[in-house]
Amino acid sequence: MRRFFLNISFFIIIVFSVFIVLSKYHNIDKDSSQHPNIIRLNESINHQDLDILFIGNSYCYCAINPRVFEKAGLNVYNLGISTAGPMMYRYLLIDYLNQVSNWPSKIILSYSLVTFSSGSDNWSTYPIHHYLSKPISNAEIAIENGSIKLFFSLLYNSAKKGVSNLFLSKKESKKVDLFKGYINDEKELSQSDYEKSNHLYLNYRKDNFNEVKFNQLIELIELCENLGIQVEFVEIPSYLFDNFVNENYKEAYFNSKKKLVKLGVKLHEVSIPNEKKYYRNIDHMNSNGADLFSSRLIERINKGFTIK
Amino acid sequence: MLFNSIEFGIFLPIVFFFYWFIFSKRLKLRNVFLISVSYLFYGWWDWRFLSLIIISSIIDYNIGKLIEIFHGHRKRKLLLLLSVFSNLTILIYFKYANFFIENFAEAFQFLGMNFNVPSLNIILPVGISFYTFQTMSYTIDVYRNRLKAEKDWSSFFAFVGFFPQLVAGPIERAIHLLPQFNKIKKFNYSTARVGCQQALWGLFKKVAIADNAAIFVNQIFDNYQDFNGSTLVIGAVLFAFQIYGDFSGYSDMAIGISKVFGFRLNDNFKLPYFSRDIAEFWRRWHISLSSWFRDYVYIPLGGSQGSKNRTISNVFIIFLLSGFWHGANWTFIIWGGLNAIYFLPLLLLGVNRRNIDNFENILIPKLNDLILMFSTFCLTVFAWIFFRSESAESAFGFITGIFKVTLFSKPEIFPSSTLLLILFMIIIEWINRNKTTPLEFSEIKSRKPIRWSIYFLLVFLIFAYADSGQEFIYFRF
Repeated sequence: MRRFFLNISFFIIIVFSVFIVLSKYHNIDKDSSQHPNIIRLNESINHQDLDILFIGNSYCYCAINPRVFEKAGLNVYNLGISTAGPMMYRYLLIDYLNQVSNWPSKIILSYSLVTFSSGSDNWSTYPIHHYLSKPISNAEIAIENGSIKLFFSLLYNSAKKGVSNLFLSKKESKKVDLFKGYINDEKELSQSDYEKSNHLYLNYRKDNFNEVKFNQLIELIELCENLGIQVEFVEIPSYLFDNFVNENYKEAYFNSKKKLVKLGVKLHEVSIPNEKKYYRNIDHMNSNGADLFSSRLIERINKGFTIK
Repeated sequence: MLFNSIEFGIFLPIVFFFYWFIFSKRLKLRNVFLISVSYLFYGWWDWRFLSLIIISSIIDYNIGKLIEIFHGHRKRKLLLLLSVFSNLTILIYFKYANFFIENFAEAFQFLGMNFNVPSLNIILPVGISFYTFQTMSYTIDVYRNRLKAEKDWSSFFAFVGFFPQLVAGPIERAIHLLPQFNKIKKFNYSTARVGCQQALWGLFKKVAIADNAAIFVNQIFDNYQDFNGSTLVIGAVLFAFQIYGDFSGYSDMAIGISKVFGFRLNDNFKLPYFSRDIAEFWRRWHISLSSWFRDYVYIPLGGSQGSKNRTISNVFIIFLLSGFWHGANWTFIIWGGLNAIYFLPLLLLGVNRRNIDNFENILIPKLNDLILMFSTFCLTVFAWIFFRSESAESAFGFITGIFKVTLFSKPEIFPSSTLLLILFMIIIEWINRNKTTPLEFSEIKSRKPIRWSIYFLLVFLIFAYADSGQEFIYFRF
């Protein structure tokens, strides 16, 4: 019995020790990484005194072109992070505000069908929490999500990243062309691209609107109000993504927008023609779409906007 | 609670500690402890389910004793019928009531009559198909004088509710498992070590193979109209390994965990996808269920001893029942029927017991055997399409989708890492096919670092796929 107990304990301790040690090195690439999310996050603090800080997911970093805003005399930064949802929004916002002395005049958060899906706030695939100025531990993220399973997944991914950072040679990756967080891409969605990629979206057909995430967004609004920050939302169109979402989900999403408006929060509903020439893939805009979307958004914002 | 859950990870060591350090030397107290933790395990899904298992246990415990007391054939038979009737009533009500109501309604509507009966809001208790069959086998064996009725209620209740095999088998025979609850156990390091190896392997199959494959299988089967033929083939093949990884993985965990507690359960899977014909497949797949149907349905009906027509009808009866056991849906019945069609020619030609060896002393099977394995695998995959589909209509739609010119197109989904893991599993299970567990590498028995590296690799892979979190398929039965 003693031998069995010792062997099992020893094995478990070794496994966890290895994971924990390796996970300590998961973010040593913070300053050298060429990942757009990390670059975007690092560069954000170089932009202070903003008129608008945009926080959102990949729809955001594809749709909001700061060059268009500059031409209109607005200094903005695009802090879109892949899969970001309400929980990531909060961490990103707090991290940014803690690092800059002059806060933005306005925060605009992106709002879309995918924000409340099971795919948003994907900490496992996009562990942005490791790269904040004060990194958030995997345990804290897991506790916030109420999921111990998530902790083990995050621990594993951290360990994997640690291995990659420590032992694998860094490949020379293509330098990403970011302008104030925005990624320019002129590619237009083709039929073959659609056919190759549509299976990636099929799981959304069975997805449910996540009320917990919506409540987290409400809490974030309250936080901003307490901090004296003006917060608004912008609904970013997602071309063909609507086709992949079930009717119950759409209904719940539509109701959520009504609730938002009832709370007195401004939601900018900006549309662009639903044509593939404005989209790089099924749901992300290309540069044509971003330019058009950004200019129409400016028109809406300027109707009730006071520049500092 | 699931075996691959954090709750079970906390539950198991606590139970282990109390079992071996507090209760192991006192038989009745140990059994009562096992009953308590088993009911806690089972009630974790829904505490209301406990009433059914307790009722089933009370009925069959008392009927078993009464059967032994009464010597008259008629009274014994009546008691047996009462046991079978009560178990089947519970099973039929909770599992099949809505199926019968809906089908009667459709039949009446087809005949032009209106039949409006609301479907009942019945929750299917987890594992009901398993423990009802287990308790029925007890009373049948007592009736047949193959087994003495159990006098100690704690042994019997522990046998029925034993948590490692309660919710998804193996369906244990009382003659094999029940006596083990009447013996004091002594901790055996080798048995416990092998048990841990088996449980680890089972967990790997469940998480890294089954849950991983499920992501693609769900996508393909739920949206089969959107994929080309070759992708549908991949979906069907992946499902074959998903269900194998899921079910055999669970069985391995159940058997492995039982070994840690000093109990021996029967094997439930023996490399079924290496079968050279369907008869061999059914000797290797879900052995506890197929042998249950053989011993308690097929043989009492006459088996293959009667006329040819009788034999044919008996084969269809057990395969259709086996299909129906899996779920209240026509797709399971069609799946059972298909397997009967596959099996019948072998039985009628007398070649159903042709392949009974276990490939001893062979590194690679002969070409002839490989061809037979491949064709048997194709037949089972074809049948699995019905098993997995939501309806007969979607199953036929799926099959139609396969047999189009797009069958020869490049697959739209090709999960190479999943397929590599499946290949890894097949190789390991093949190499160690004659060992107690696939992780028993006797060649490196004395080299602990190498063995532990393999365990560590499996743990790493389990973590890598841990958050895909799928329910065990056979929990729905």
